[in-house]
Amino acid sequence: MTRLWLIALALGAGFAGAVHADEDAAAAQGGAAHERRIGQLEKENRELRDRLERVEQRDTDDQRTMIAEAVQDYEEQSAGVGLNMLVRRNDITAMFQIFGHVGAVYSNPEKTNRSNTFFFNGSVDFFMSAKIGDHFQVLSETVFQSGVGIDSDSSGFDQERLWGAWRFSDAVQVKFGLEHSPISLWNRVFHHGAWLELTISRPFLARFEAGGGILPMHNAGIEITGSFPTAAGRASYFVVVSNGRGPGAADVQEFSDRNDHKAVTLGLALEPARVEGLKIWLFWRVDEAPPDTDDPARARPVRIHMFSFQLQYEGEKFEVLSEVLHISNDDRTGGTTFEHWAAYVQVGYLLNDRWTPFLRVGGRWMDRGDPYYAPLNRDLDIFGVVLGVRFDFLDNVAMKLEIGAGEQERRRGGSSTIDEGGYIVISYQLSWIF
Amino acid sequence: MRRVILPLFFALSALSGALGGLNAAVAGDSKPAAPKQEALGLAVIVHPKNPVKKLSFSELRAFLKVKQQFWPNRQRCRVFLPPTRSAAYGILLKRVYKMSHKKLQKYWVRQLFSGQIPSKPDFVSSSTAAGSQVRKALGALSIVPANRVPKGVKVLLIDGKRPGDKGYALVGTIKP
Repeated sequence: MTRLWLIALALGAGFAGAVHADEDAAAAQGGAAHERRIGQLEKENRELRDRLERVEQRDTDDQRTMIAEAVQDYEEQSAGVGLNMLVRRNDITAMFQIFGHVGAVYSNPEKTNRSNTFFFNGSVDFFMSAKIGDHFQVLSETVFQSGVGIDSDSSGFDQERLWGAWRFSDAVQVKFGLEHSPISLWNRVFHHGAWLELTISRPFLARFEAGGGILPMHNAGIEITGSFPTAAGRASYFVVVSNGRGPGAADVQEFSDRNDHKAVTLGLALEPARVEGLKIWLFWRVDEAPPDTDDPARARPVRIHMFSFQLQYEGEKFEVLSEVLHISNDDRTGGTTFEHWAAYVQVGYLLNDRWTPFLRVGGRWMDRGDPYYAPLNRDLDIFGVVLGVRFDFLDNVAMKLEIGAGEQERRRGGSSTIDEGGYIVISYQLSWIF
Repeated sequence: MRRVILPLFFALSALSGALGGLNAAVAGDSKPAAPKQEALGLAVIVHPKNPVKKLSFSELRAFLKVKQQFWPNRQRCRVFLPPTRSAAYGILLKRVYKMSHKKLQKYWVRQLFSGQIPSKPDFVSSSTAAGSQVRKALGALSIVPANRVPKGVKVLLIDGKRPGDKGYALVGTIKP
């Protein structure tokens, strides 16, 4: 019996030990699996974190790239002179620019009722050009400027240009409105933007009607122009029908006309293919100035013919502008034809992007006593040389200094006595665009 | 009159000399050894549906200076210039415009101000952006490095030659 109990105990103990051993082995196996699982999960976690970081980094890089490209786009679009104020909406692109200038002058002899030296407020020029669709263009130029009167100065706004144009193709553009006359190249290129002009003063033949000029500088009318390539170079043509000149040389007929004889201007231009940067124009204009009821010497109209040769060369270093003008005034009151000439040559030499010295020689040679010009002393000769330098000390700000000297005819105190004397004008100008 | 002209003439000579000397001083007279340079050809790209396949160099210049504003099919040409700091833009300034960047900016203002052009050309920030603009607009024209022509655009022949051909006009040198 005891033996049996002993055997049973031994078997029991052995079974119990076996069961324990199995449990230990299972526990050991489960722990390893858990560890493997945890390791696997940690690995997956690390991989997911890495992927997340990479995705986040890529997004950030993309964003940075997008932002950098946007900034670069903006900078590239802003590459221009001044603020380059450009507005785009649907199919309208509008561009705004503002010009301004101020200065100081020493003049001998002095202007009537003025001293030899003075500072002056030049002008503020508000310019806008817009393209509406592919073919329509509008342009507006409004200038706030000051004028020197006999007793007091004045200032005010002038609408200098306002036109709309439909460009059918390069060969045909029809422009309608108020525009500067093409009879003077200077007038057409620079208008009122002093910053654009290389010099401070305008040539004698390109002075405005109110500033002692002999040409009609403003045209209210219709202009048909176009350009096309030829074997000799790019050719252009101009046909302009506009209000003509007023009774006096200073009258501008922008809003009405005193007679039905419209002024007709025809022009041809060529940019020779062999000389890059050169452009040549020829213009002819016919007009009839109405009688001046206050002046017995102007009881009948004056038939006016003008012929103009213009040249512009813009090379890498040199810039040349030149015009030759002939005016023939057929005075129907006195039955005399008066012949007038005016010309200038201006050369600028670009030393670098900042410094441009310049020289201009020009004058006008008038038949004295022309009743159209005589009341304002514009029938008198003048010849002069202008020497100066332009310093673009900022991209959109220029300082100019020039000395002009020459000889001119003068009427003494309203009498018919004419004498000739020298003059000298030293000018400083600060001009800008933004 | 001689009393006026002669002093002015001498004054001009003196002024030119002084400014020339100043210019030389600013630019520096020492000439460093010329670095190695590589040739870079530029491709003129347009919309694939643009019927034009080739341009003469003078026609290309007229388009880029916006003297010619319309394609023969009366579609307005819109010019997209390469980035201002890129080698491609530098080559255009030298080969086509023949003026500095600043002078070109003044040229655009003059053209705008005289009413010759309704707006100045746009700049793009990269060849990819140029491709994107050209694919978008039927009348668009842009210039990209010939080795970076974007997909989906047409490359025009210039004077009957394509980029890489001997005698191709739109080639310049760049520092590697």
